[in-house]
Amino acid sequence: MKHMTLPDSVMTAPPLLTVENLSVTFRTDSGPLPALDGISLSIRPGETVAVVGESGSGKSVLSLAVMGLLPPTAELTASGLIFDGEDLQAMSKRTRRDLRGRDMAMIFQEPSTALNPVQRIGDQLIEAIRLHEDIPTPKARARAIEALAATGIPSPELRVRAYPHELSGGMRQRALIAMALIHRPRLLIADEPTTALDVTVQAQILDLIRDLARDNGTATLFITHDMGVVAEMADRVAVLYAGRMVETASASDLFESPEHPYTLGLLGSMPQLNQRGAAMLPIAGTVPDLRQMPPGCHFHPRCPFADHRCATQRPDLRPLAGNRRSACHYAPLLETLETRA
Amino acid sequence: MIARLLRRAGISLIVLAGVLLIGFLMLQVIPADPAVAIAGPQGTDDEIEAIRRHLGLDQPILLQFVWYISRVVTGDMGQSVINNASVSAELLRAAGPTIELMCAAMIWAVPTALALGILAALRRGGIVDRLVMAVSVMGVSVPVFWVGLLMIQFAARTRAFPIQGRGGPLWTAEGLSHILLPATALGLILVGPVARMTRTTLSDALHADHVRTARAKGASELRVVLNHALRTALLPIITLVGLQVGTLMGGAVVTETIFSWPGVGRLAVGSIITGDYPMAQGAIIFLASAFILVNITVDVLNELADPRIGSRS
Repeated sequence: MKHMTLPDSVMTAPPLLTVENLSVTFRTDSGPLPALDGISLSIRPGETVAVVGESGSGKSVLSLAVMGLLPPTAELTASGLIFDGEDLQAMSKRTRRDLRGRDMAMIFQEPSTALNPVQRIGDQLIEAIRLHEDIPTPKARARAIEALAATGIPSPELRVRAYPHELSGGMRQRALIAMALIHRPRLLIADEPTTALDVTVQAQILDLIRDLARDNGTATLFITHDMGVVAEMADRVAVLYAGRMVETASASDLFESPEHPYTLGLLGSMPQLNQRGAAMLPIAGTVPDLRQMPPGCHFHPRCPFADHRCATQRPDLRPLAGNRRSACHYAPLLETLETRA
Repeated sequence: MIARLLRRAGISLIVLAGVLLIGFLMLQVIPADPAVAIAGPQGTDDEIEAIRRHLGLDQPILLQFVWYISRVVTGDMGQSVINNASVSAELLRAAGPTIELMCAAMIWAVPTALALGILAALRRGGIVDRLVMAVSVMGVSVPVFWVGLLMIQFAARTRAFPIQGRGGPLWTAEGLSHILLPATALGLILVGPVARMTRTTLSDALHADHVRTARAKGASELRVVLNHALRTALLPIITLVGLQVGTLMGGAVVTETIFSWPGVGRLAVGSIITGDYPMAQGAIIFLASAFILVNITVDVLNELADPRIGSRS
């Protein structure tokens, strides 16, 4: 687990990104599909916030919403979407585009398909450079080689001439990271950047993202379903379930005492290397259909602590002691368990 | 890449040999006896026999085939039985106008089809999309001879454009006005399929991960569509255009006949009608070779467009 605490200056700095009450609904042939419902989140400069949840929880939609890359079928409402003091919703398309790749960048899940298959790696990096900076191609090429070298790609001056299919998955992801960080963005969104990679490569890529982000002072929004990755990377964690935030806390607090049964379930389904023999406890059931949400707490059909109140009354995300929030009627859980017992 | 090209050329040679064999056998099964045709209506049996011996027609078929191949290889495809002209020379003379007509058809039809397909893909389900698809279905369904006849009907009534023959080189006004109608009729064959293919592959490509990456880099929508989405969607489009060139050659036969365009197609049709079999044979071999050549070109273009192809083998 990550034990390094952030310097005080980071903890008190004004947030780089503030998302307030963000909802995203997709128009589909079978009616509206609510993907995100009332998400509020903020990231301070240099901070790493992990967004955790199962597939279908809306975590990728959140990243696309921040980037401004939602498809036209998506409808976005938010009472605030502020980046570096600027209102993203009020921005012209042009200004928003200028932010992308320069001030906010993104790394995607599938390195095998995220690169243009018919363009050389170098040309893709050069394009990324020249989209935001007016420098001649040879100079951009030198920068591209430097950036590849910084991600630990061996003989980068040869790799710039390679096509994506000529590189391994890990190397492709390194190239994508180099591309995303080439303008030293203020915010990096990493959407499951290690899911498609070999386990041995995963750790290297995580180290790389963390080191480069720290060197550049980049804030990172880390999207993942893997609690192991969260432990490795995050300062703070936001847990999403079926489009809603169910818990948010500092990483250390969350791992020490989760305050939502869903988080508890996520931690239980994380394999523990140091606790040999300890049973892995998967969460029973599946994520509900976003069109047919259960009434009350969305998690109650799968929740071991649920009672009649959970089935009828929707819990709000409410503050608990220690700067954390949980959307469970019975948080803090420990007290509840004691009184019930 | 060079090794692939050589292998491709080798395969093409086998195909070409097959074409030659069929062309040769065609002459064997037709009812007409070339010796009789050459001798003319007044020819005596002795004369016919002499001609037959002179032409080697009394020899075994296999031997005749070997002779035939060796002559074709040196560019000698025999003489027309109608006017004794060299088949090779006639074909070479007709090849120019045919290539000219096909190029003129493609030069407007391919860009038009691409543009229509792109528009349809970008506004999928919109009015433009439906209109483009309706027009392209019509283009596919309406036979080229009918379009040609309608055009002739229209042009003859309004006297807007010449409807017969070739008016000279393309850089003259006369040449351009003559090629306008046949090139339009011929090009229409291409527009439908290419527009549909562009629409399908491009709308798939627009949802590809790497296109999203390009957007995340901050690329403009125009750049995203043209440099990233269309660039990867191009591959099946190139293949289709290549295949369509074959269809286009078939269409050229019809178009040339309707508009009296002095090309290989009209030569082939004319020689079949008049029973000029050496000429028909030559024209068929010529068209088949052209088709093979186009396929090789498409392969090379595909390899240039997609770096993954070359390294796969």
